[in-house]
Amino acid sequence: MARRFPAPGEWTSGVRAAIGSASVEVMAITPFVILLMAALWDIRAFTAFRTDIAREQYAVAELIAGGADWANENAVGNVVSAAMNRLARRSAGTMRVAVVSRLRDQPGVPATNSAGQDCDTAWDHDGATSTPDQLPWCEPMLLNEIRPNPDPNPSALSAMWHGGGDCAAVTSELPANEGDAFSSSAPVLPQEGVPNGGTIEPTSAWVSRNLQPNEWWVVVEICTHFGQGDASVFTGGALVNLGLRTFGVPTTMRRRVAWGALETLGNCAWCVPTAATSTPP
Amino acid sequence: MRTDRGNVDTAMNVSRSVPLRRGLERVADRCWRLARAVPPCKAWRRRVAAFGADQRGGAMLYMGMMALTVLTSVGGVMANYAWREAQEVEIEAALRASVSAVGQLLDRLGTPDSASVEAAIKDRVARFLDGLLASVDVDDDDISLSYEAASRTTRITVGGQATAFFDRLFGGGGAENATVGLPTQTVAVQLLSTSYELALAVDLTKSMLVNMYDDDGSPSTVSRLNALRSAASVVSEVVAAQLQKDPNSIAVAVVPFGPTVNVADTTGVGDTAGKRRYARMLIGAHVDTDAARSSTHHWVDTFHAYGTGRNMGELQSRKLPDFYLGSQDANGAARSTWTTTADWDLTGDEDIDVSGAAPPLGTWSVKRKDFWNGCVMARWGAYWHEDARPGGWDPDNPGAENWPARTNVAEWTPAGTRLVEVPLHLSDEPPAAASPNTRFTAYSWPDAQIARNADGQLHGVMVELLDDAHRAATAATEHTINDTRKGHIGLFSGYNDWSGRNKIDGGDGGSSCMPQAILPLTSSTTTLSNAIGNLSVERGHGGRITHTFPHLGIVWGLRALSPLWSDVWSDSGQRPLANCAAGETGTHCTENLHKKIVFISDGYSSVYGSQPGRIAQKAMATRANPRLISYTQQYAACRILGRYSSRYGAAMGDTSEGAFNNRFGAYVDSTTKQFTSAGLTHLVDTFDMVVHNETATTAQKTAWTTALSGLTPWQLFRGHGFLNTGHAVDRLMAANLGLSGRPMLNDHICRRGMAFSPYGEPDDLVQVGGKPVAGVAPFTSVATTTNPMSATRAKQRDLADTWFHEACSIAGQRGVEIDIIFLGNRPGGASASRFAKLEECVDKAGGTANVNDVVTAPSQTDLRAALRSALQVTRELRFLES
Repeated sequence: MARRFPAPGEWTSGVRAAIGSASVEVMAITPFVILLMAALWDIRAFTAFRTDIAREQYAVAELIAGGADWANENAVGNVVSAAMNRLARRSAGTMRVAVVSRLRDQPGVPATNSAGQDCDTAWDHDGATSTPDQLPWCEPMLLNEIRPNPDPNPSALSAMWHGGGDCAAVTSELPANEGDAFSSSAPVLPQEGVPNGGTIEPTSAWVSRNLQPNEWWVVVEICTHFGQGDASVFTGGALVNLGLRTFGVPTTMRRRVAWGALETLGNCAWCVPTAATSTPP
Repeated sequence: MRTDRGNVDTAMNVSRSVPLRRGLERVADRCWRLARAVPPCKAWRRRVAAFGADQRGGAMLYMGMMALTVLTSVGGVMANYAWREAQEVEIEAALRASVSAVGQLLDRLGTPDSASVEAAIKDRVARFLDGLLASVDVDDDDISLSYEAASRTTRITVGGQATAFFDRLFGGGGAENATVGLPTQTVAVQLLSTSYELALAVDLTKSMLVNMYDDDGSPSTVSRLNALRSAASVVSEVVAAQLQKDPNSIAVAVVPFGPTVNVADTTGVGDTAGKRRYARMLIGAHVDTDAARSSTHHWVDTFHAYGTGRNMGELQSRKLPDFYLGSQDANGAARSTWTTTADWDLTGDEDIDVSGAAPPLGTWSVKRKDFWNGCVMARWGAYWHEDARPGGWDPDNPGAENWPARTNVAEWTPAGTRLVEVPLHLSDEPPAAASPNTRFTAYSWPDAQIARNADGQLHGVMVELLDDAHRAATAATEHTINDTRKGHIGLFSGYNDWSGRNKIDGGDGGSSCMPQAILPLTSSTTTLSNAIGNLSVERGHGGRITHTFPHLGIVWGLRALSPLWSDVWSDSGQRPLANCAAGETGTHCTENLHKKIVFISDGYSSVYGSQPGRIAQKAMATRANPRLISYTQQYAACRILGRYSSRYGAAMGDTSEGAFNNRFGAYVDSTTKQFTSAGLTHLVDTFDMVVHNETATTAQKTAWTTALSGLTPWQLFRGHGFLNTGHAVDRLMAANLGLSGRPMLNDHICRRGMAFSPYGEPDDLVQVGGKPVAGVAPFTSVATTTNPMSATRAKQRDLADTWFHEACSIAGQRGVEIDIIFLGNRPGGASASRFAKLEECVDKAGGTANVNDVVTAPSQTDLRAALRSALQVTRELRFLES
């Protein structure tokens, strides 16, 4: 005999007390809804966090654009400290802030390139005349690193908060030491040389390779591992981290930004660490 | 029987603790009962019960799936929104960074090469954006730019393409690597060129003659002074470069300071701005007329109300000889304007005849060059002028008046910089003729070109009286002068007599007056270069340094920058400028104006015990070469004097009237302390011996006796006190003893006397025409048995430190930044705490605590770099709401 699909009211699951299946479904679905909402919340917080990082950079921008006391104090150090403290609320991470230029404007110590040429002195390259016609090629160099005050981990290459999370294992892409130049293929701006659907630009066309000698930028390198800070927003980013790990996506967010300065390097006392000028905090 | 209620109970029981479950049961039971009792609820109850009992379940399944879908969609949209927002913020931040990176190019918009500049800006913005952001592709064509010259505002609009992960998922694209249009963003930015008014406050005490270091740290052959002079080229270069960018962007004042400052340049030939200022300060107008002269517009009183040369008659306030800034020329001819070089010769050898002055000043004259050379006393704030005395003030019983006077000073623009209850002597309260206590008093020490040998003569008389060995035993008997003691008397000849020099130490009279006057704000690179290139140290005497008052550099730096002082510094009164208030325009204000004092020094507050004299110091000082002696030498000198005359040596240390008078024993009345008849006789004989070599007639001696009767030794030798007929010194002069000048007695030459500063000597009370009005002197001495001069010096140095920091704080309240360039290495050891005073000054003016603000410049190269940095006019990019 063919098995008949039970009519309404005939279905029994063997449980004597007939519990409404709708209730069961509600209970079954609810955790997934909650998980979904949590995940969405995490994503929202994650993206908002990305917004935060961008916004923190405004503070640096304001300083570089104007108002910084070039001669006496390193206000950037204070802003960096404040930014780091805000990021620490819901992340672990690392941060490096550096002054980058092509010239080491230090009294009595002219910057020279590997050929021994002064980086700020024009040379006669074409040989057609004896008139200097071109600046020598000098790679951008890390002139001064600005650490937050207080520096939570002064012994580390980068300033680090909450242990750095996954960022602790990430290597900074900036030169390690003051006075070191970027290698010939290392970008100062993070996306230099990355094709946007077109041809890769030659290195010599990079804007960082065409800095004027006395021009200087403040470069901020931030790595954050979301959800390992003090924050407790819902799952604290755990789902995003889980999801990213599940799909093999890095759980760290890396950003590098650079701000060009209006004033020339010679006007910035704290850009170059020298005994003759003030000490950065 | 299963009930709906029971079903609810079952559901509620999941993972609940017992107490909680029971509580919930009670709540549910109440609700259930309520639902049953209320008719509308009954229907809902039935529906809920039916829903719960419904075993078909399909609707719930669909609803659940729909909920998931809806939530996912809504959440996705939210996430996408947040993502896009983050992206937009990132793009905006990157755009600002890109615009910031072209800031220097923005300065060239509006110039003839604008087109190429625009192209360069677009290229750089595009490259910078591409370099900063992943998946963004911006070309020059995606950028548009507009420039509004009037407001110096540039608007840069950026479009372009970008890939967007969430847009691809949620309808923004569809294809792999799809691109979307970047949300168009516009950044409006103003390039503001900050205007600066700077005061270079330069320490020019003797230590500036010490050599700098070379760049390698080895001793240099270049002195600090010469390094500073050669840095004039740096100042000119920087100022010229800034003026090329913006003609009104910078003006610099030079404020030389040491123990004093000079506010009016009397040097040079003919009509100069400094001389006009000099004239305005003295007589209220730079072109003299009798009307102007009689006006009350002057700012500097010429009281010589210190030492004991107080009532100077014709030299007193504005009672100037007619030909001196007056309506007659040097030949006595009337003049209505000052047109000739001779009219403006303020440092010449022409005499100012004061022989007819009342009270008499002697039969000598004061040369123009010895009159006033532009230095002023600190503004003590008491009542220098009798018009400023408070009602009911009793000059003979002044009591404790206001030292230091405090005042409120009007705010600058913008508002909020008003000074409240700050010390007047440190404030930028401008001088006003109508407010005598805001006026200044001329400083010209030493004034012994007026005293000549009178002080030496008086001290000679004194040592004879005190050293009369027979006086104590024979009471009121007059004694002849011992021949041996005549030699002692001669020791004092020339003491405090500076008249042997044509110009003291090659200077122009008041030797502690800084030789160079303040150069008010100027944008003239030539003027600045000359002023800095010709800097010279204070004159001093015989190489002896005097005081260093760093606070004077800050105080006068502030005054050089204060818009309240514009009428003082120039005829036109244009600079110092103020910041324009909202909507304000005009020539007396400018936007975005910053003011800064660049303080250049090689030391700290110091007060030395140097004082004029050649007592027993003939090896060091001669009449032809008077000089300061240090406090240690002075102390030694007093010990030598003690060997000649123990009584004199002891009396020199007395600071109280009673103790001093008692040294004269029976020569003074035991009650009144006035000279007795025998004392007067001996006094007159001694004057005859010292001043006239015993040639006075009996009639002269009788007249002298009459004139000096009623005086006490304290009044006669120390110059203190008023009598019914005038000041004690006036009485002395009226006696017509034949003194070679008007005494400028030093009160405490063995213990506390020192170079007369703008704050007087230790224990000098604030005076009005010779009458003390302040109960506490600005400087007070320390009485110790070991080395009182050293202790006094330390105390005064600490006081000067306090004033230094107060002055820095006042500058900070005015919004004036202070940069300090220290000519030397950062010191360690005992000097570290002194150096910290400089750091503290910068902090008090708004610097950052715990940051090394003071720039050390041990080498010439460092100095030039530090100056270049301090003078730099910064520009500012102001991002506007677009």
